[in-house]
Amino acid sequence: MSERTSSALGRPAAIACGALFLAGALLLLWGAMLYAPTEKVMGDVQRIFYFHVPSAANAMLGFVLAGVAGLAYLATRRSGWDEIGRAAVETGTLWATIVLVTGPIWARSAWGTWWTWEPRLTTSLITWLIFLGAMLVRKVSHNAEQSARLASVIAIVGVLNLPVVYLSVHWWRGNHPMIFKRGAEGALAPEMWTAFVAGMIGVTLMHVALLYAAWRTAQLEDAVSARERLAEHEENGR
Amino acid sequence: MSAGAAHGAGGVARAASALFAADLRRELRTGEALVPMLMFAMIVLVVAGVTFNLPEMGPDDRRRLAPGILWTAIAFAMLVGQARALLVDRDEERWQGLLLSPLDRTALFAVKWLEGLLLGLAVELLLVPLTVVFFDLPPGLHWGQLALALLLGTGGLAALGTLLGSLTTSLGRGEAMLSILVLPVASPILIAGSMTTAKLLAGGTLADASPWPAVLLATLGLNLALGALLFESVLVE
Repeated sequence: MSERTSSALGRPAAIACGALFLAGALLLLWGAMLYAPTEKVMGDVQRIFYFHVPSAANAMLGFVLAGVAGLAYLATRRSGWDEIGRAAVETGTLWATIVLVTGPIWARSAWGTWWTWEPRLTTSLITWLIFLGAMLVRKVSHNAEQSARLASVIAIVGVLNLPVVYLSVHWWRGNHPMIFKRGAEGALAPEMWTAFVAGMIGVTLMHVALLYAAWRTAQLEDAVSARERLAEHEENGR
Repeated sequence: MSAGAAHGAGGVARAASALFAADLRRELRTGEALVPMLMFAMIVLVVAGVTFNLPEMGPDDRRRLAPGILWTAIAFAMLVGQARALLVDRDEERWQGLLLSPLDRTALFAVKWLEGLLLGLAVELLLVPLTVVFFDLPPGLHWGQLALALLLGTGGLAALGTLLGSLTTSLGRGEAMLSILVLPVASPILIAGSMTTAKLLAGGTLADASPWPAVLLATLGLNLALGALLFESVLVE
């Protein structure tokens, strides 16, 4: 891609990305901080839920996308799939980090402890560690092709092991709040449902914007690396 | 079509057996993977005994602690052994020969997995009796069922260690990187192994430990399938 094309596409896309992120953030904040009623027992701390659950869903979305992109890369060896995989691991890890920060804050208020080894938080921690490993492999690999290939393997192994990690941790421990259980004590009120759906849409919009930005960055990094290799090759040829 | 396929199933089996026999002879002669594994596993047990202050614990507390420490020792010993064995292959430039051999990648994975499994089981032959002695566990266990649980769990760990160990070896990295990659993915094996062992130490059977033996079996199947499918991708230079 020429510099001209890149810059011609870059500015409107950057503006659209920023607008999408802002719209998502505003929707999330409106639902969580303004629209949702204050929960009777936990008070304002319960509002963490509107950040925590959509972040967890989007972390999983990022990791599944990374696994699919990894499979597609190994099958086709097209660098475009690797760029998508790289972006998805980064954004998935970011959302998982938010889950791991907001979860303990909730736990401290709800259960009186920062960490409880409850199933979904533990699964998030393990998933986060798996995908940090994928990012580390990229850091220490010797070249772009090796980095793409090995990180794809880690992403596939990680994603296909996720259901087993989830089930085993779930069977091992089991005291996560079941807010979606029909008729359960503590089930969501209608206004809370609306705020929750707004949060899901908001965080997903933010994720799409971040994913696009990370994907474009990966594309530009690859373009720069290709130019550097070409320049080096020409230098050696003289 | 791979070179291995061109030689037919008999040729692949013969090449795999020859590689396995050569690796076994080398290991029996040098002990370069098994000796560090045994030393490391024993050290984990001793360090656990000292840091958890075992002499001050009652029999029930020791029995609760033993499964987790046993599986931690197994996991770390296997990481040390498999990383060592794969790095020796790389250092001695045996990989080039293996990659050029008529053995297809799935068969190569199967040989390396079997070697990892046997190394793990060899360590457990020492580690399990030592755990019984150090943790003062009751000798009247269902030993056959414990052996089956260890076989399933060790098989799953060996599959992950073979796939990801070859990956870290191609990066020129050793045990630390392998631990970072294997242990989070291996968490279902470690949970299921510990829970099954805990039930067996309490006098129960594999059926009482449900669903954990099934988790061990599922992780073994999944990680063997992933290894067979992805091994080629971690070998390309």
